[in-house]
Amino acid sequence: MISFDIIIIGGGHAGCEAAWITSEFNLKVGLITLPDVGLASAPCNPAVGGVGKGQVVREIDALGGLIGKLTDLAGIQYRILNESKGYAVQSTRAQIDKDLYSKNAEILLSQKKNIEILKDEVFKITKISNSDTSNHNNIYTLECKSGLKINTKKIIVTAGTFLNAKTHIGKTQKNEGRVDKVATCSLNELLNHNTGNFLRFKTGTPPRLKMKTLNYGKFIEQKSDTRALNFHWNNDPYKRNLAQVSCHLTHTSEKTMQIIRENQLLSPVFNGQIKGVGPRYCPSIEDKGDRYPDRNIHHIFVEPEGLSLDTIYPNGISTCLPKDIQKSFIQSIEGFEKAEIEIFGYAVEYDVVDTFKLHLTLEHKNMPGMYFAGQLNGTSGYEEAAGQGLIAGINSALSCLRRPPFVLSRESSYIGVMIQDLVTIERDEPYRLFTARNENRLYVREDNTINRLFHSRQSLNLFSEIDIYQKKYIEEFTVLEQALTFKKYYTNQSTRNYFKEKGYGDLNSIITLADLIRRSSLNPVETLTKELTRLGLSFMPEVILSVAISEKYKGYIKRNEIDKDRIDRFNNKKIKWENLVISENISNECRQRIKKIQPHTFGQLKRMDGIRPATLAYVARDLI
Amino acid sequence: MDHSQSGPIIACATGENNSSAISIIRISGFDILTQFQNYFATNLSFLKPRHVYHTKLLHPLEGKLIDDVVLTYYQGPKSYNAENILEISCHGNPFIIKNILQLFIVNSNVRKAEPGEFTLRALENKKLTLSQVEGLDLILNSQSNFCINEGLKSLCGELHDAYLQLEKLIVRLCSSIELGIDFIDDVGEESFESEKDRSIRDLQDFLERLHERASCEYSTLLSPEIVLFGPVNAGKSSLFNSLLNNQRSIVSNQAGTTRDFITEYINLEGHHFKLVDTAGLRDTKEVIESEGIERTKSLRDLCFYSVLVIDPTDPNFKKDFQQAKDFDLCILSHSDRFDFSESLLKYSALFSNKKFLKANLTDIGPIEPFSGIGPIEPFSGMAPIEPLPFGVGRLKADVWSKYSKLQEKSPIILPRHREQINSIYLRFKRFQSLIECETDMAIISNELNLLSIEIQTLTGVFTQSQVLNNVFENFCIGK
Repeated sequence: MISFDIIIIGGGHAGCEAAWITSEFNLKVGLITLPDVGLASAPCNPAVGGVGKGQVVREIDALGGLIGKLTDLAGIQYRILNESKGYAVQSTRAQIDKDLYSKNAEILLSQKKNIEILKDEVFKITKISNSDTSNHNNIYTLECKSGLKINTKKIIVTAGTFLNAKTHIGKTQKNEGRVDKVATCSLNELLNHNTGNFLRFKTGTPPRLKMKTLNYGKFIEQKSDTRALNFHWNNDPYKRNLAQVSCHLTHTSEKTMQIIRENQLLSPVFNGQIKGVGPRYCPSIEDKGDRYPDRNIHHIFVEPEGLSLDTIYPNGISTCLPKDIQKSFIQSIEGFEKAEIEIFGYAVEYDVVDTFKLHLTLEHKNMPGMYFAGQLNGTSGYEEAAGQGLIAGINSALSCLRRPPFVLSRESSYIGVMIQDLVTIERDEPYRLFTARNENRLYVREDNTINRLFHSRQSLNLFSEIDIYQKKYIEEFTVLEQALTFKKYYTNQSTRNYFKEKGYGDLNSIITLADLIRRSSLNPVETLTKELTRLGLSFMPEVILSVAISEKYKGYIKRNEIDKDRIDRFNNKKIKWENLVISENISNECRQRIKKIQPHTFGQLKRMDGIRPATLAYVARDLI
Repeated sequence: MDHSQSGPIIACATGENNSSAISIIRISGFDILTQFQNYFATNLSFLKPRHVYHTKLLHPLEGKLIDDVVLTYYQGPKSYNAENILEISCHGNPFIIKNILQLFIVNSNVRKAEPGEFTLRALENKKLTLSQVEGLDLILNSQSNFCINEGLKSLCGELHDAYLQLEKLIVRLCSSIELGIDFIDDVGEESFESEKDRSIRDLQDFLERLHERASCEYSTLLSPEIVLFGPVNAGKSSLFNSLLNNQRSIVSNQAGTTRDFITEYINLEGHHFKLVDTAGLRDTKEVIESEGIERTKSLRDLCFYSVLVIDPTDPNFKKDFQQAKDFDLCILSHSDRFDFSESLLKYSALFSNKKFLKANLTDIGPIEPFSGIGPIEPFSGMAPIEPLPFGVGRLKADVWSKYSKLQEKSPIILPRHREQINSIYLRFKRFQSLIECETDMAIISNELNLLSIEIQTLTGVFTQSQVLNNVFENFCIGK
């Protein structure tokens, strides 16, 4: 029998993040991971970041997490998404070498002296009676396949898609968590009691193709963007760790979709073989063919899986059709005519925890000391998983140390939005972050992550290098922000000429540097950078970026605050869902959803998918 | 006003202070009907909902007869406000009504209803929407058929449906923007742009129509007035009389006889119009007259339809005619006079001047005198006044055409809605100018969110309690 402060079950993106941060608290941490599954492996797309998710990666990095560091170490292509749509919704995405990513995770975690990595499988968790009630630390016993027994105060379960999992390719069903990786026991078996929870979700992945069999001449190339900032705070913003490669773009053809539609009923998604609910925002190609009968052209992004790997990930054609059908539709795609499939696409169904029963710390309400994070909470995406792993990790550590819990607000972070959504809204499909989920999107941006999370990071009292860096950042930010209002442009001829020469526009009255960079015709970041260079002032590039962008949004953010109170008050009003589900004035579809989700406040109802305006208006009458 | 109180309430729905054949007293919000058994000679437990029963209303303690009544029981939720309602039709004598109200208030746990309280409960129990309640207010309190029609539309939910449609359009636009931000890889720039533009166009079209309805001038429709103006002795009163088809105004040939306004009602196509005869417009030093003239001018600006009657043979004609452009119709009178045609010729240059043609200069005049010896001088005791020939018909047709045109625009007349639609419209205009220069989708989306909050206020989603209080304070008791 060995003992730990915290045991993490699962070595994926949530588990690695949890292990990394808990070890900072000088606790004894055990990370149990399946023997044949690599740490932080990328079983789906070989990319980290994306719209909304790039913000999460930077948030985790600003709190001292791992994902940004790993991404930069394995990053082989960077892009700024939504660049033309403004700074607030811009996000960075990096393609990763998934092999290197996993290896680096193993290296970095092994270097931590207080983390022990155990290649094993837990099949039973038993709670020992509150032997340690004096300090509120519960003791759990874990039984592993190898015969190992472990005592621990806290458990973080990050089992991903493995619990009671089943993969599907055509008619073939296997008890696997990923293709060729055997599933583990069910959630109820693991927890050794019936949690009354039988929620199951489904997700899928496309076939992997051999790079050498593709005709790259038919694709459109997408190069790595040198202007995208690296994720990790301690890296030079623009210097990449690895050689950069391109992604490519192709699309389905009429024939592709014909094959898929003709064989629709062979897909487990359509013939009832899969019972779990898949995400509507990430449909399989079978779904797309069914939902958009008039559309035959669907984008496919050809993403390399690594520098030394000769496979690509064709993003956009996730499928679980039988193998021969996969092969024939793949070869009907522009540039894939002679493509060979390395691994076939598949769907996987798995047990999901009812996150409504979790606290904001991700600790289970009925099982103190037990935390849940990652895909088994019914989320999708490495970034979402990592964000939860971080929060569960920090809170389990704080709880061990009998310190107050750590909760990020909805107003200042995407992680806060995600966790609040997870624990307050019951869902019937996998959860993914979108920027649209964030009511405070103008403020919760990539560029000001440190400003948003500085105080939260400080509250951890970890005093490491990152804290010194962030302090310096905040100091520089404050100085530069003030400088913007001190620096003035007077209406003399030489300044006017200078404005003309730089294309800054007219100068009819005295303006400040802040006024100048707010001008809608100018790029705030470029203008501020230019002016600082001319004034001979030197600041960190990330500070300049953030100060300039913050200035641009200031007015808009202020305006929102005025309406916020009114909206908040209304959203917090209680509603009686029991009455709504029997109301004849609500459409049957809405009633079904309300019955399933059981919203308690008007805000929850509003955030639910598929609720019609007429329903909202009807319910609102009650609240007046 | 505190609307939060519950419990049974009572009021007379048909007004307490006027005598009438029947009055209806309503009791709403009681638990069981039989709690009122002592008041009635019939066994209440046998009352079928929505059936009518003839019975006697008795004093609950003394058993003496109060009135002979008819009862109707509406069992909630199938009633006006979803509560149990008992309707007592009694004799419409104010003393009887007060007696019955008092009887219930003193002897049962029933209190007198606050103004509008029955309807408030209907709103609370979702039997009516806010727009419907506002429509009801119009039906009960307005002075014109037009308003009653508008009220009925609102009560039937026409407005509410329009607002829901508007909300649907904004939701679609918001989603198209979010689609472009979060799912641009899936949908592609092109289809994002086209969906966005289409959504903006649809919203704009709908909003323009709504805004037109909410901003068109309607106040004159509430109590439409036809007002006759003109210098003294131009023939206003004669026109007035012939419009009424009988003699009401004192008519004499002495200038300034009609010193104050005289009003009567006429009926056009089943709608009531108020007909007003005014004092002369001519300047005068006499105090009473000048006051009258001031009032006349303000009346012209506010009325629904203004008619200027002038006499071309009058030496002041040129000066009087210069005002013609401010009126809906200008009538040249006294065509019977020997110098009438001569005068028209004299001023022909004036008539052809476009500036004056704006004044609806019409050929429906001249108005012919009633006697052969004009000027207009009917004398009492003489032959009955003959109806005007074609002129009056044309005038009426013109009034009706203006009225029905305005009605066709189907103006939204509830002040709260007009205000709100206006502010939605302004926000939308601001949004349109924003998207011309701003490419930042988060800012655009933010502006849209503020717009959709304005729209939700219209459907009642964000309505503040004060608004509701305002709505209910306009109510009289018993509705």
